[in-house]
Amino acid sequence: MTPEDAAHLVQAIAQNRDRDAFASLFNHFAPRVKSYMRRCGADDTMAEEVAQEAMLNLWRKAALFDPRQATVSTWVFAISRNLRIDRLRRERRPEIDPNDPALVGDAAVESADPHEVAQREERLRASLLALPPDQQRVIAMAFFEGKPHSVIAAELGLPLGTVKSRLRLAFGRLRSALEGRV
Amino acid sequence: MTPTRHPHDDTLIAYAAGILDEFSSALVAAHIAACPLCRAATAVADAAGGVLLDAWPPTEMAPGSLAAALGRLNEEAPKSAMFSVPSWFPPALRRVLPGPYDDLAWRRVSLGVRAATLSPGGPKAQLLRAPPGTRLPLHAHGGHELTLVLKGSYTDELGTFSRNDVADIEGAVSHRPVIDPGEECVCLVVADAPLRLQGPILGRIQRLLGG
Repeated sequence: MTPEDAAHLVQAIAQNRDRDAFASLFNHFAPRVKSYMRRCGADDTMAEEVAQEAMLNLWRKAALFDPRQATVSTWVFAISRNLRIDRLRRERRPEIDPNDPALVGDAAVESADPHEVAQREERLRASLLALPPDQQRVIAMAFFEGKPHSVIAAELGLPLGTVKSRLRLAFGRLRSALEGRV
Repeated sequence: MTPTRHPHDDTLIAYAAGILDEFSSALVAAHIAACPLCRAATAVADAAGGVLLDAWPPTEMAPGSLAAALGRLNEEAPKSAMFSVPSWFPPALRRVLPGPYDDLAWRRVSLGVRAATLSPGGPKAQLLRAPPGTRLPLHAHGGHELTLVLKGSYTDELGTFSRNDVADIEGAVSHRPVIDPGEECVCLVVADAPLRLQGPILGRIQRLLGG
């Protein structure tokens, strides 16, 4: 599914409450959100629940998605990350059940046309894959396994400062790639 | 008002990855809501998350999960059970309040300063408030500490911090903040090490206050 395909499907939901469009997006993204949650240590049940919730949120907020800001993948990642954080909070204090105001932020990033956004993120993807292995590793551990700095440091046998600077270096490169400088 | 003091890049990256504790997360979210610069920075990080989401092998959902989801599309979004807060209180912070702002257990911590603990089990996240002109005693922070100004402003050795500004301090830093004139200053402080009042007399006060 290309970023443009995904964006059109979200638009179909926003404009027509298109259930077929939802089904296509569900079949593509729900298993990926499930993978993300499993990597973060959720059991099968929790991972399924969060994947369902993420897709429901996509359905409800489809009108707020702006393809000039980000791709649907980025949006779904942000939704899933926020749900994950909220789950952890709810485990401790279940009495509060807020709608997360951070689910869809206000437009603030410089707007591009959707094709450009997709191209930028393709550059980001290439840049991520081209990162030195030690930087790729920390990015994956932080972003795709949801491990805090201290846990990454312990698992890799590295000082905390080194973990942070590797992430920072990796991000420096990703940012440059996104802006078109390499 | 656009903030001029921001969280460190390390903190923004950790926020985007979702690996900060819930209080630090809420603090950064509140700042980002007011800060286009940091919003742009975290947009890059969110995009990295999106790339990884696409790249990672999917895990099959249980049979019937799509049908279940389709069946839920007409559900109402869950209602927010959020506590009442003053108009200037950032929406992103409401979810970490244990009760309405006015009903929090405000306690005196030193000369004019009041605190309300938000985190269960001791001061890791607190709201601090002090009237204009208050001079806080010299104190040190160990570990990593984030301060978000919600209202008013204070000035210390690093400069002036106003509404939506973040002080992101790592390691042992002593400072002596002074609340600026004009209005009460209210801050959210999230620390991973306890505050230490310094000096022999103040150290005693700290112990008396149960710190």
